[in-house]
Amino acid sequence: MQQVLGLQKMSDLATAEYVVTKIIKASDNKTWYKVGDRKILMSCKASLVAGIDLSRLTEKDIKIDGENISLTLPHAKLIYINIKPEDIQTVFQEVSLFRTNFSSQEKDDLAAQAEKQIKESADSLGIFVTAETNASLFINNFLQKEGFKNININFSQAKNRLQ
Amino acid sequence: MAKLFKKIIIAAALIFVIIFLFQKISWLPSFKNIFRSQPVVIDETPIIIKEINTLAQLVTVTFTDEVVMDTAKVGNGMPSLLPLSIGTILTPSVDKLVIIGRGKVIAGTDLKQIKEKDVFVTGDSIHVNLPAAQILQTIVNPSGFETFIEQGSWSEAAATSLKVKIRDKITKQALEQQILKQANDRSLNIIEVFLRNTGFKKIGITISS
Repeated sequence: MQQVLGLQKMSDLATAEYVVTKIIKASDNKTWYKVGDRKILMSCKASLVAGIDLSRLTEKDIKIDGENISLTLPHAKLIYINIKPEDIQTVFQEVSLFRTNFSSQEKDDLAAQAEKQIKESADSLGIFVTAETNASLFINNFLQKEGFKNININFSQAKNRLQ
Repeated sequence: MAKLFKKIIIAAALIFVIIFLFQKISWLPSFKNIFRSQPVVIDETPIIIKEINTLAQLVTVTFTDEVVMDTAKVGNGMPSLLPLSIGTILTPSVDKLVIIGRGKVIAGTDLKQIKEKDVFVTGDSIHVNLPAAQILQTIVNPSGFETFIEQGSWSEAAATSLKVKIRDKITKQALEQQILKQANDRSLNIIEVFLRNTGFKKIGITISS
């Protein structure tokens, strides 16, 4: 798919960051005509940031009655994942005599697979629960500053965790 | 003779059927892919949570860009002959590394910096003093890199250094595109809509310098 580059508007409130690590382990021994194999171990650190999309908060999600306010927030989603180039390191590499070292592109391909695995495991890490708790606390404090006394915050039924 | 020929045909047909079945259940590569390298797939390893941080960042603008960076050094390979008008000279071999990086810059407002004194409320009027927008992250993930040329021997540190330069250039280009001004305008707009939806009629928002 053609990617559109440039500026894009967003309305996300990022409320939780998880810093995670993962060992990238791979063996290149599946191609039948290549003599010898290659093994690699890499370590990587990633930062996952989740929060809520404020553009999905509409007038009908807010009910005000004097000093009482009730809000229905959208569920948390993954806003971004960040793996810095300097946070990926080759820890161990074993290459047979007839094989060449892992190239820069091959290492990036392996790290990209790790990126995908980390992204897919976001839900099981519990980041969305933390993001929703933090969003609820932050908005509660902000509404208190605005002068509301009784604040009730819920999350909508529909779940859409897609980035 | 005819019997032997028949046996050979049956044996060949059997071999073809067995090969076909093995290819179907992926025990053998298909004829089309027989000389294609198999992809290297990483193992499923555990993900360890090292830190959990509480944020309150209003992400308002992203800038996506693509940058090409290259580096070169004298290599250890065979020297090459460079033709000149008066003859040829022997030049050392050159190692080249060219990487294309696709990434994004995320800008917005850190709402954690809002203090009690930054919010004034009188009846249905409110004034909020927002902190200035900042670049929250520049992201160039491994899936965003493509090594276009890798000639000679390059260390991991050299490739990482080139990738960091790509990230810095994307940040620089985002700043040249006035990302912070756009992020400030957008933050102002989002907070205004939120305050209006929470019942305020007169809204004043300023951005800290």
